[in-house]
Amino acid sequence: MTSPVIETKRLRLRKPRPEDADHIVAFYQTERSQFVGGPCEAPDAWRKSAMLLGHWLMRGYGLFTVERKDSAKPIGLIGPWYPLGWADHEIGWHLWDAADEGHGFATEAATAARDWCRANLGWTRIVSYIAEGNDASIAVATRMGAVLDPNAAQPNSGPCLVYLHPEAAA
Amino acid sequence: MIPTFHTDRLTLCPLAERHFEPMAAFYASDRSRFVGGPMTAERTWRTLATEVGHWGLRGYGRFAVEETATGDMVGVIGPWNPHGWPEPELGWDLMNGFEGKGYATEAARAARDWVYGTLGWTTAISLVARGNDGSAGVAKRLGCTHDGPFTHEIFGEMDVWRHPSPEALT
Repeated sequence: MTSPVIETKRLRLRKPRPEDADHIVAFYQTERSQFVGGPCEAPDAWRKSAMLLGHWLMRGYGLFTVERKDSAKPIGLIGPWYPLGWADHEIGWHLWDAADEGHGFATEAATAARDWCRANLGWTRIVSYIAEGNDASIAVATRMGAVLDPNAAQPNSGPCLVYLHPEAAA
Repeated sequence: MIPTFHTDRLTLCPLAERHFEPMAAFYASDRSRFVGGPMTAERTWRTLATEVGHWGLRGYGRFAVEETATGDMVGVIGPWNPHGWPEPELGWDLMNGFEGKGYATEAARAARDWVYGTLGWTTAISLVARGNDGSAGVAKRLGCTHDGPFTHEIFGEMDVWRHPSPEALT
């Protein structure tokens, strides 16, 4: 499988590259990573970047690195995520820098990634796992039309809010 | 591209999803206590993804080692250099039931030939957790000499074993 690229109006989603690890390691040393398994020290964060890439190599897909088209700056990780222990196929998202929040980038990228998963992976039931209190992420899910599903199975990583995405338009 | 090698009895090949089951058995057992375990199947899947992703980040990594005659997976062996390591190492983990056959020594010797000959390493170490006498025995059989302690921020007290140089092996 060649590496897919997803284009939106303002963003480009591509497979992570080795140099993205520097961003990931820096992000995981900040409090901004508290809702996605952080913060942690650099060695653990580096292993998370390796795991992210390994998910691609084992599954054939994974979180995409999102770049702004205007600057080519990579701003975060968004896309399909399905490690062992996940109850449903997930679309995940996080932006590394607070300065890139508030522009609708996460919603724009995650919506495009969701379309890509339906078209290329055949995903039908799609969820997003969101930590309680992560209001920014809840807002993204809501803008994407996802709704809280209190009866959904939880992932093995621990209790969280499960937002269920709408069925694809026919 | 990840190469495949053959020794007298073993095949070193790319780690893949099919190696998950033997790795999960190893990481569920107390034998994994010197290398970060025991751990759940879900964490083992992420550990396998991390091993695979190390290739993506570094361009090299550890191999699955299979018994050529049976196809059984006997270990995970090869070069390993995650963030926070003192220098690149050769690591070896034997899966359950394959100890005592000389497999770690045989595979690690082939991996060492590869890192010296193809990757151009001029030296190599192996880190062995304090008390892991089986692994220290492998280091000695490979001609390594004790080269001091190393304290890792995650794994704690380890011993550094220094391999013979490429020149010393020719």
